Amino acid sequence: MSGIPPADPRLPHARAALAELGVGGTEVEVAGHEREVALLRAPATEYERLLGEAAPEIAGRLRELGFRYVALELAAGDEP
Amino acid sequence: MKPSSETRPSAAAKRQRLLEILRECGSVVVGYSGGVDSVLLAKVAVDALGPAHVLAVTGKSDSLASWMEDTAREVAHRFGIPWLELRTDELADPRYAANPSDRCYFCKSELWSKLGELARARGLRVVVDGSNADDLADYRPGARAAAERGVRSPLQEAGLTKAEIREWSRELGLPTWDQPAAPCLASRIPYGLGVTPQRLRQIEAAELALRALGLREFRVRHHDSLARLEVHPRELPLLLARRREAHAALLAAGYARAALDLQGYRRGALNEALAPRALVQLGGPA
Repeated sequence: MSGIPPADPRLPHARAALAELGVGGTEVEVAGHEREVALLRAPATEYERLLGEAAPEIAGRLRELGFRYVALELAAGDEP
Repeated sequence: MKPSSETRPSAAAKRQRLLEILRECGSVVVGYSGGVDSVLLAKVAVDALGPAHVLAVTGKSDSLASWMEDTAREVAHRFGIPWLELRTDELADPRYAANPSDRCYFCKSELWSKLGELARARGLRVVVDGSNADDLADYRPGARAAAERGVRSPLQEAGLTKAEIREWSRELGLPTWDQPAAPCLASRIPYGLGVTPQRLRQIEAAELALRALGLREFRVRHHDSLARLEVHPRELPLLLARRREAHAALLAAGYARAALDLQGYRRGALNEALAPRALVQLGGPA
């Protein structure tokens, strides 16, 4: 029997939403004890856009998918 | 009909009302967290009643942040407020430790019970807390515990708002006048995830490290191995300038990963997990 947990059905929609919003290079995964966090990882060059005026819209789109919180990793995509 | 400005009490009238309430009490034990509200209340109480009739008490547990404890002690000593710390054991209560949405009710029940016993032992007539008029609009299960134990809220009874409390604090030279809101460390843990001494120490270590970088208006929200950082928009440039240090600090505190919430710091963010119906059932605002 496989020990691999099933993929979160929200993730493909989250990736599609991010691509629509022009931040398609951003990775997204699920975190938290209730899988309540959409955890984003992006190159440092994308931080200004992700945390700037587009932040409410990005957060809103992902919350519509059922995530309670949307957060951007402090370690940028190209950092350990 | 909307009340006119002539019928709404002025800030001066509210201050006078607070003094009247304190004189009605005669002698008080103040639930003293070191926050803006309870510091002002304790200071005004000492001025109105004299130090022999006032005792400011800080409930000490793993939920109390060390910087709040330091502020409570230093301000009390500097302004001649009689003060002591009293150990509280809310963590030993499984109803509290389970971290339900009304966790504060169990914490405040423990606090007000202990302060009530202390007041009786010291011959002080009334236990008072620093709730203010703005708190009436907030979700505060701890207020029910206060009401059940006859704790009075003089600032709230006098109608004083947070802004008015800060202004009065500034006039009195209290260093807490512009201090950000400072709820206990347990408020960083999502409902349903247990409150433990280990988690509280981890959160405190993380927030201390970020304070050392110069941040003040932020929260480290605990999601197991993930630290979700909420930062006030005005501090975002500082955080981004010291991003790698902040990341290293959060990992050093024991988190496997650290992330910045896109919506920024907002008070009561963990209450967003509560459905409106749950808030109403627990006595909070609809």
